[in-house]
Amino acid sequence: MSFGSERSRAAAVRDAALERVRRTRRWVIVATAALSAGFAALVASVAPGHSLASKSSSEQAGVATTASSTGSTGSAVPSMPAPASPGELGLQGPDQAPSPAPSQGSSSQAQAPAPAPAAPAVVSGGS
Amino acid sequence: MPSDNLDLMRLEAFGGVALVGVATAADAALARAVEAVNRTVAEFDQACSRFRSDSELSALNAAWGRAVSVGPVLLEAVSASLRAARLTAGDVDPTVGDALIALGYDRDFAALASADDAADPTPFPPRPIAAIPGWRTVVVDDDAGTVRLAPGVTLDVGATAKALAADRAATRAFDAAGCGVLVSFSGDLAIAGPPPAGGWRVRVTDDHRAGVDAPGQWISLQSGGLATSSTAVRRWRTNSGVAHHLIDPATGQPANSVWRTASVTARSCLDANIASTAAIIRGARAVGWLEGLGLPTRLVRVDGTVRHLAGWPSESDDLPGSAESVVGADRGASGA
Repeated sequence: MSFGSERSRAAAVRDAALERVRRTRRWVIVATAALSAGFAALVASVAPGHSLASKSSSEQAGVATTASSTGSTGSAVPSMPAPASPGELGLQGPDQAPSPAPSQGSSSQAQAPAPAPAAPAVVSGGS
Repeated sequence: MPSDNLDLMRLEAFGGVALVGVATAADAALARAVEAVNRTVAEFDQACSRFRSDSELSALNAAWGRAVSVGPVLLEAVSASLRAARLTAGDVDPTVGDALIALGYDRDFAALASADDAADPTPFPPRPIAAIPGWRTVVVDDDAGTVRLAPGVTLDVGATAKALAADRAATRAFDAAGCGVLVSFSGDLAIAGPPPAGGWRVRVTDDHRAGVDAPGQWISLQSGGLATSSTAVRRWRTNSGVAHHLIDPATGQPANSVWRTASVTARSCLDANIASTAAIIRGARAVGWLEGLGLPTRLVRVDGTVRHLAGWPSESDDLPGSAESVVGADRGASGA
């Protein structure tokens, strides 16, 4: 009898200890998740759009860079990248393709009823 | 005193002819535009000239691996030259300076033995050079305002800097004159503001010093920029033959291109210059590249035949169309 009572008390102690371990583990998990979320929110509000991999300096071999300065909105929503500057874009075609022009001798002045000042001729060639 | 016709002011800049035109007959506007252009030329020459010992570029080329603080003009010019290299996969490379010097182009072009002057007894003995260092050996720090070249690298930003200067000068002149402006530096044109009625009339030829009677084509431009690159000009004699200034970075030698002249229009003179220079270096490969970018282009083969690409008009060209142009025209006609 005494032996059986000892066993049941040991089992009860063990069960209580296991319960404490389970409870502690639950709290650790909940606390870790909460801390992670809080830290992420803090970082997102302080440095939106940045990553650990980005360089702190704009120094880059052979490539001029422009800084993103769109500013923080104060929320965790990532901001859009800054619009590309003309220097970052590829070669841009003209707004209007060249058109054939009359030769020097056949000025449009002769055809226009109210002639505008004639544009002077410019030469483009190799240099 | 206004005159009946719009006028051009002719200047000397960057070793070539510069022209400034305004889209008004008011003389005062032209004077203000010219003053703005002269100011821009002086700034770029002081910053970017390879032939001035007191220029910022000369100091940078002599720095031998040290980062050098440079002014905003040279910083922008170097960045523009690196952008050119990046957009052309290195076909337009600013680190060809040493190759040009090795070929004898180490002074203002007027002092060289011109290829056209057969009586000149002193052709330059070229020295062999190592491979072109490549544009990735140049480091720009925008925040610090510095440029660093790898030891032994000599930058030549001449072509892109001249085109960039044309863009900047046109914008400044437009602001100063209050009317549409055209600026041409050695045949590379930039337009700012509204053009005159009918647009700016341009004669496209091999040589910017040639008159309007030289074989070529008349076109009209409304905006943006136009640049022409040619192997038919700026040629000089060396002991091993005639050299020209368009260096192929792959070989370190003057480009042996199927085109003798390439003219391109773009949104800016700088972009037009990058494309026209790359067209000479790339040769036949340039056709698909330029058409893909939608850059109107006129290409003159070494045999004198011409191709018009991406919306460049083919009317009234003095030069005959190349075989590809004729085939293309036939195909277009049959498809219509």
